[in-house]
Amino acid sequence: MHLVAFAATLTALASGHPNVQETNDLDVPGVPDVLRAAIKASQKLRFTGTRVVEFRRGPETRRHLEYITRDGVRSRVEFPEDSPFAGQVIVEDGRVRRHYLPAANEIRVLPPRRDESFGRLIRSMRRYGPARKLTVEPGEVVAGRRTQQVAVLDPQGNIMQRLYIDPKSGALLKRKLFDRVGTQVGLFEFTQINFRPRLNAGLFRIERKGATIVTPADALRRTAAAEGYPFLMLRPSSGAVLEGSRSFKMKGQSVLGQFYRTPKGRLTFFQAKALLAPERLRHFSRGDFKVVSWQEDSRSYVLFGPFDEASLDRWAQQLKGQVPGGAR
Amino acid sequence: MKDPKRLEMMNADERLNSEAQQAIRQTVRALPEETVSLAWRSALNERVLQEAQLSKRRQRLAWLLRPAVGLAMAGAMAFVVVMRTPETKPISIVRANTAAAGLEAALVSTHRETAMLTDVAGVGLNATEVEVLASDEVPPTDWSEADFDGF
Repeated sequence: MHLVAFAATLTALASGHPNVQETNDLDVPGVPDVLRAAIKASQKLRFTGTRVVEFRRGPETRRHLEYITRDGVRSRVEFPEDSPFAGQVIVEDGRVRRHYLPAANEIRVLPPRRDESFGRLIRSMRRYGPARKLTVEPGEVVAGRRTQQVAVLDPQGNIMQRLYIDPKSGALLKRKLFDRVGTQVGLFEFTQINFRPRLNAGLFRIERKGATIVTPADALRRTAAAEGYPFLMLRPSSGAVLEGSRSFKMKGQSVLGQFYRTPKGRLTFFQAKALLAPERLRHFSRGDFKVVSWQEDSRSYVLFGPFDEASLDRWAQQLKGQVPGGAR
Repeated sequence: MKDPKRLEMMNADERLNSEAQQAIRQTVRALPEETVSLAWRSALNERVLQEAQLSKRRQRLAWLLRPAVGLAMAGAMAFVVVMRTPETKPISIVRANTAAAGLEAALVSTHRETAMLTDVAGVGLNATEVEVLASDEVPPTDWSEADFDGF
């Protein structure tokens, strides 16, 4: 039943349900032409390519290769034979994202992510207004193509990210993200791209008889049970769509994290088997986003997100009102 | 034919009536008889009486002290429990907070990184998936070389 509900949510997401639609409206001052062109082109680009992806988390930087096939809103991601992700396939058809995991023989059904990158940038510009400044200058050659570089700066002039756009196709070929002290924390870069690929519709389907279909709610239920947490989850009707969850060991403590997508940004919900100090949570957030937390039976529950506290409180009330194991 | 048991008894009687046995008997009869003195007996009786009285006194004292010692021990335990209880609570809370110290920062950092790094991922794997889904063992492909011979 929950799989049907999840599919309905994804359909609503694709059809522009007011709760979950992306806010990629370009009616925002200060957006340079090359970026507008890239946002428009992102809906209809066709290409195949290879890209390097890097994430820095804590002291570790992880790097992997992805083979990308793109046909408008449809996409397919695969990995080289020697990759730790070899055999995994991710396809999006504009409505649903399906991620095949060969070791588990699972197909994870998720909300699509195609609009995430530009959507967040536009939301950020709308939210901060003149506090976000974009500059354009000639960029380097990426995957054999000369690019225009768009830099996103904070009010003090610190570079938050750099985008390298192919002005001819509108393709975003490289993106770098930086932390507060200018350290690169994220990167993707195409090393090869072909804008005249031979594609067929079958590329954007996954058919695997016998594979288990797993929704984010299924995965959360599994993780919560394994780690001894009550199954608490925000329903899609709340405007927050669960994208994933995972358990952590942080500072020797067990933590269960849930990651949601909302029309106004990303929402994170943590359950911890420890008593946390609300003032410390607020202090570390530094006003970048709001925090709502509460405690029950020596456990702490925390919601983070770029929302007003009333919105976070509403979500908190929904979670508090759930009987352990009763949420569906 | 004579009974062998009867013969053995007759021999024993003969041996007992022998001259050597008679000599030993006379020697033993001639030994002086020793009697225990009345003074020693009296001292022994007094000593036994004293010991018995001492033992009774000890038993009476034990009968009185045993409950008192039990009460004292129970009181001491109650004192320890009562006096320690208010201390235990703050200690446990402090421990929880101390153990969780830094966890608040880690949660904030995880939320910030997750939100930001999703931008990098786009349609590919995001940072969380990169950490979680790196499969150590991928099952072998269903295809063999023979399957490709027809191509």
